[in-house]
Amino acid sequence: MIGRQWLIRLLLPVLVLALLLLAGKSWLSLPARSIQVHPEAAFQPSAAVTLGGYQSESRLKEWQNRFPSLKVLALEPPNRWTQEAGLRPTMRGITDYLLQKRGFQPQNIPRILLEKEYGWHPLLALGTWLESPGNETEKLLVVLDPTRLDYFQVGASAVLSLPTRARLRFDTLDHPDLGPGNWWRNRSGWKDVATGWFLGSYALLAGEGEAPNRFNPLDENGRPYWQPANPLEWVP
Amino acid sequence: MRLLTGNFWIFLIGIAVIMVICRNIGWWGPSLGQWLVVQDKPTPCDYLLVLGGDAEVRPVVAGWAYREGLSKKVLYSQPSDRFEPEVPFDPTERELIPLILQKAGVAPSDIVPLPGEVDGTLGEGERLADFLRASGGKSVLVVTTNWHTRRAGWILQKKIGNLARIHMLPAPSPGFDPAQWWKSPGGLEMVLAEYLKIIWYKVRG
Repeated sequence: MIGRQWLIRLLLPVLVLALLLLAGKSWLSLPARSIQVHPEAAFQPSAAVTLGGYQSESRLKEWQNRFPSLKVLALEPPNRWTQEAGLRPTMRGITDYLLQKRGFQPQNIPRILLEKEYGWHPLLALGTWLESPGNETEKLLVVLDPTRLDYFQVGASAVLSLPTRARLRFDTLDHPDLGPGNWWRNRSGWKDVATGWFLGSYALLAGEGEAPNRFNPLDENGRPYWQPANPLEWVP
Repeated sequence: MRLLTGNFWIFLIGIAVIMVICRNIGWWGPSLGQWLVVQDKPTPCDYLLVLGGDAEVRPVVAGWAYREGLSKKVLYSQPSDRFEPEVPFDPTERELIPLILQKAGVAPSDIVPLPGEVDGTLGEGERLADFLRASGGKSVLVVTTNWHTRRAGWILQKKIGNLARIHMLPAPSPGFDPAQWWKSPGGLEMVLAEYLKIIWYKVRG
C-alpha cells in the first residue's frame, strides 16, 4: 500500500506537468521574454545609443525613422594594443564605418569616450552625459544585446540616481534564435537565455565584478615583445 | 505536514551548506582555477603551435618562445569564420595571428598555417595529427590561454597519439586571473564551463 507521503511525492510532479501542458506553449516563451524588453509606447526618446550587439546600429536607424529628431550618440571604447600597433583599424574607424553603413553621417554623431569598457562603466558614462548641463531633459534609449539586459538593469539601479534612471530605457535586439516561440529549439537560444540569467544573477549577488587585467605587450619601441613576469621559471 | 517539515529542514541545510561553501571560496577557489593551468618546463620543440582564440595574447607569447629559441617553426590553427564580418577591413583571427607573430619577431618564413579550418580544440587536434603525419616532428610546444591548457593538452595528446609529445605553454588570460576566477562574471562563467567541458570530454572519451 502506497503511503500518503509517497502519493503526494508521485502526484505533485504529475500535477505540475499537467498544469504546464494545460498552459500550452505560452510558458515556454517565458525564459526568452525574461531577457527582452522594449520601451513602453508612451516613451518618446530624444537620444539613443547602443551598448553593442550584432547590427545594433540598424535598430538605432529604425528608432530615428520613427523619431526623426532623435539624437544618436556613439560610445567609443579605448583602443586595444593591436589597434595602437596599427594591426587593426581603430575603434573610431570601426564605429565610423558601422554608422555610415547604417545611413548615419559619422561626423555628426557626438562621441562619448570610454576610459574602460568593462562592467558598468558604459552606464556611468551615459549617466554623466544625462546629468551634464544642457542634457537634463534628454530621454535616452539604450539598445543592447538581450544577454546583457539583466546585468545592465542591475547596474542601472546600482550606479544611476533615480531621476537619471527615470530618463533611460533599454531596448533589446531581436535574435532569430531567441524568439519566444523558438528559443528552445536551438543551442544558441538555450545558451543566450542561460548567459542572460547568469550575468543578471552575478550582478545581483556580486555586483559588476572586478575589471580584467588589460593586456598590453607593447614595449617602448611599440613592439609586442612580451616577457613573462619571472623569466627564470620559464627559460629551460 | 511532517513531509513538508522534513523537506523544509533539508532545504535549509542545503542553503546553509551552499552559503558556507561560497563564503569560503577564497580558501578552495584558487586551487580549482589553478588546477586548470598546466605549465610544462619549456623545452626546445620541433614546433610551436598557437591555438585559436584570444588572438591578441597567444601569438605574443609564442613570439617570446620563438625569440627564446624554443622552436624554429610556429604553427597556427585557422578558426572558421562563423559569421560574416561586420567590418570587412578588420582582419579576422586567422589573418591577425600571422601579423602579430611577425610583429613579435617571428620570421615570416617560419610562420606556418595548420592546413584546414577548425572549429574547436578537437578539430585542432585532428589537423595537428594530419600535419605531423605529413611533415614529421616529435615534439610540439602548444600556446593557449592558461585556463585552457589542461583540457587542450589532453585532447591534443590523445588526437596525435604517439606521433609527438605535447608540451604546454600557458598564455596569460586577458579576462581574469585563474586564481581569482570568481571575482568576475567572465571568470566564473569560463571556469565553470571549462570544468563541464572536462567532465564531458572524460565521460565521452
